[in-house]
Amino acid sequence: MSAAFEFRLPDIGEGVAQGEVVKWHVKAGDPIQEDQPLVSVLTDKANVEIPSPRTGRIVTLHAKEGEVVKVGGLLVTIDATGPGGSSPSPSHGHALPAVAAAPASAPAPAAPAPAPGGGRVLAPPSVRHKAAQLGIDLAQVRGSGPQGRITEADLDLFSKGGARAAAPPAAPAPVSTSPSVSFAGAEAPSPTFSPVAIPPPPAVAASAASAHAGPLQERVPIRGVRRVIAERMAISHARAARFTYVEEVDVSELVRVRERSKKRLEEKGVQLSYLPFIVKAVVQGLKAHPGMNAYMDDARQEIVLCRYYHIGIAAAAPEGLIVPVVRDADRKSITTIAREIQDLSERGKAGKLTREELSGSTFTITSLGALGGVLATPVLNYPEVAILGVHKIVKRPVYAPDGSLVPAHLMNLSVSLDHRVLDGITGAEFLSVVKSHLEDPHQLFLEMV
Amino acid sequence: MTRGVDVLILGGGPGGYVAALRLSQLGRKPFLVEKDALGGECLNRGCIPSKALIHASETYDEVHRSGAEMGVPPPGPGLDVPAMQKWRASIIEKEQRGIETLFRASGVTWMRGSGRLTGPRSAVVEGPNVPGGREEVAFQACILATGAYHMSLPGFEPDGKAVLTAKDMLLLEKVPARLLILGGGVSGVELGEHYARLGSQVTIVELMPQLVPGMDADLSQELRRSLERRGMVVHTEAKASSLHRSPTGLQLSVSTKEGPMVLEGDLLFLTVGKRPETRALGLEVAGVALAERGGFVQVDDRMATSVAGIYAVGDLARPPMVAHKAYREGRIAAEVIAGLPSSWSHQAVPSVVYTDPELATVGLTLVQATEKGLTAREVKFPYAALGRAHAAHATGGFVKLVAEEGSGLVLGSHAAGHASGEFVSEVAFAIEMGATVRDLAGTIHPHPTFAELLQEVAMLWLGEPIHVARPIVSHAR
Repeated sequence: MSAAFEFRLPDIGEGVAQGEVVKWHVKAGDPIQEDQPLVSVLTDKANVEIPSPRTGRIVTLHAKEGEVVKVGGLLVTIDATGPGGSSPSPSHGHALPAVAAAPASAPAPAAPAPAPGGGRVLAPPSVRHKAAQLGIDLAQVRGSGPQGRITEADLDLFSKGGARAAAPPAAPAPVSTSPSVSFAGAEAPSPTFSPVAIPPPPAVAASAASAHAGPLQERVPIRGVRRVIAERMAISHARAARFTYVEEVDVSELVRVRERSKKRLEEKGVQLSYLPFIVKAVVQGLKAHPGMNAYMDDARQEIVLCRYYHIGIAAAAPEGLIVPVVRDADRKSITTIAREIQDLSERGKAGKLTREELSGSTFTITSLGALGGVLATPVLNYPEVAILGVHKIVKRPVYAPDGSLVPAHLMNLSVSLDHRVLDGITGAEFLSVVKSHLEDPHQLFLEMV
Repeated sequence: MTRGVDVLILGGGPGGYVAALRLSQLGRKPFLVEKDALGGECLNRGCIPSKALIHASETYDEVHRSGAEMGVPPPGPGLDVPAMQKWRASIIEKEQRGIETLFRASGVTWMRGSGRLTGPRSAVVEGPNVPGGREEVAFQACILATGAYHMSLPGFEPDGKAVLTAKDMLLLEKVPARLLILGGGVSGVELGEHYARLGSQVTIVELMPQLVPGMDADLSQELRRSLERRGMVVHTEAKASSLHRSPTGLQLSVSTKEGPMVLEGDLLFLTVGKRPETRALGLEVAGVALAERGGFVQVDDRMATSVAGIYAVGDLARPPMVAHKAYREGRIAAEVIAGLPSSWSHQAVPSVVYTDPELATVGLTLVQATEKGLTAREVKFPYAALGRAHAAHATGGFVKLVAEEGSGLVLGSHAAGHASGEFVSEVAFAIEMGATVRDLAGTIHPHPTFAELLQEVAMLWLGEPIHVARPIVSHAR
């Protein structure tokens, strides 16, 4: 006897509400063994491979690659062969067969579904009717009503967006919203930036694109890490009142200190960039201004001050920007931090970081490496309340106290903060602490653990 | 000669006749074939005639049981069963004429006969009313709506005399003194109670552990208590093994948990379930696939079968076997054939059992919600706390509300009590709208009505009850 088993996206970890189907390892009709890899799902910024909870045959894949499935949402129907099947009881008041409960072998037990109604699309019949008329898949529509209920206005909005997609964006405009860091050090040649496509004015799309649409344009779906970045950035931009403050730092002494230490660490296989020094200086700044080492709890309208120092390092990975986290940076030496950043960087590029390593930061540092620029307006790694942008080091003549011109290494730091909860003066004071530690790096050794 | 038709519909029940009317509305030309009478099982042998009789016996019962208390003493013993049958027949006739009138007004043509497929685009219609006794039909599209048939049981085959079907039971001109019922499903309890009201000694034998298997257990239990109070005898988990006919009546041998027993009766009503009417429909010839279970024709959400252009609706297509689901499916099939983007997108199909207490259910039970992985909570509000229930001499029963913790989304409601079938639609509406318990509680319900129960049970769910002192809560597991 066979039984159709409906497998839903399990709750993979804290706070994960949805995942994107990156790759199916099976197709409809395939036989499948219990624990055989079924599908790769991207949650937040980590890839998770989900094994099959059953042995049987794949009946239907309910999500396409690239599609986002909510926790509790239907992933796949498996015809589970074996004695488990039973004939359905007469159905009363419910047209659908009862859904099989998650078996003990599923990756995670059934947990309280975060989406109301277990991820069911909430739309009144009138909206369902209109969606059918317009050919809109309601699962793709974001509802603005209570509990995410979809309204007719949401459909109108969606269909306008759909119309824009029909006359798609022209060549992506390289607009850097959030600078990326190069782990190899501020001077290493690692040009990275985050291109974000901006739709052209509708008039352009309508007139120019209509005649020769095809070969002049390429449509790139927003998927995976790119989609996560897009959503995060939009949320950050929509919620936080961002204020950016820029300071110039004379890092001549730091350059000398690093030069001296670099070789010694290289023998131990550790590459020493400026970042570990900046991390330590930032920790000092955060200790002096605890309000900067915090995140917003919007739901409760509270600021959560953190008494630990987990520093996120925005980094370029093949799929896009990722933010691995150096945990408890206040309790680690510069060497340890250097080694850790190197390791996170290498594994980040290989896509081998875990969810834990990519989450939980209390403050974020972002750098453009060799292309460091003069200043930036870093977008907050929401819900964090502050972020530091690091720029390139340039050699310039400066006046010494005796009035003579001397060569100096100068670097700008840009700090963005959420002006809802932090005032500009806090950012300025924070940056002055960071500045003083970087201009006189020996202070860092006084704080050394 | 072959008749070329646009859309052939086999079956004139709720699925078929609605599809015909909707197709015609959309500018298509349906041709409907019905082997018996328009309206199908529902109108001719099911919901409508049984409700006509049940209404009559309820009226009789009410006056006899509580009329004196209310100042309306019964006018004597005069139960006139032939008049009751006449009343039933008049209802059916009116309803049939109604469908025929609608057909004429919409230009729907129909023919009496038996239709079956002869290929993916052809069928044949046979019968004494068909010119020449037989006609070949070629169609552009076809909707199969042949419904379901009542299953028989070896050794208990209906004979029209001692062993009766639901159809026979609706035509009785005499109230049987002792009525045995094999099957405690919907028609078993409905017609059983009807005859008990009219004076029969009724015994129900059900194989499963509860009456109306599949129904929320609380509702089923409430019904059983009420039937037993009325003097009916109910045996659950009981299996009939043989039937003996003797000059003194029928002896039904039954094995129960308590051991074997012999039940005496004058008539046996056999009602052990229905099967989709796929017999002699030519499905194999046309290549129409059956679903894996239950003998249904396999359909998708657009009611399309495995053969392009052939659709199936109603009892033939999938459970539950209820007319209102067939209505909707007939409509969907018609719209799909007419090229509209129509499909089944419903969250819940309500159902009603016409007993005292009336049982009405829609959406998920607490058990089903928990099986789905939802965190749900259920509360129960008694009829006895409702003013209207007292005024109507109907204080038995309760309404249960199942909703999701946190979101407060309404997931289901299950009621046993007077008029519950009338207000269950409000909960169906709430479910379709994605409404919350707060929405239900925040809607003013007129006082005094039975529908007020929903407002009360919603307030109870929220922990803000006014007309009960102590919340009655049951959590999943």
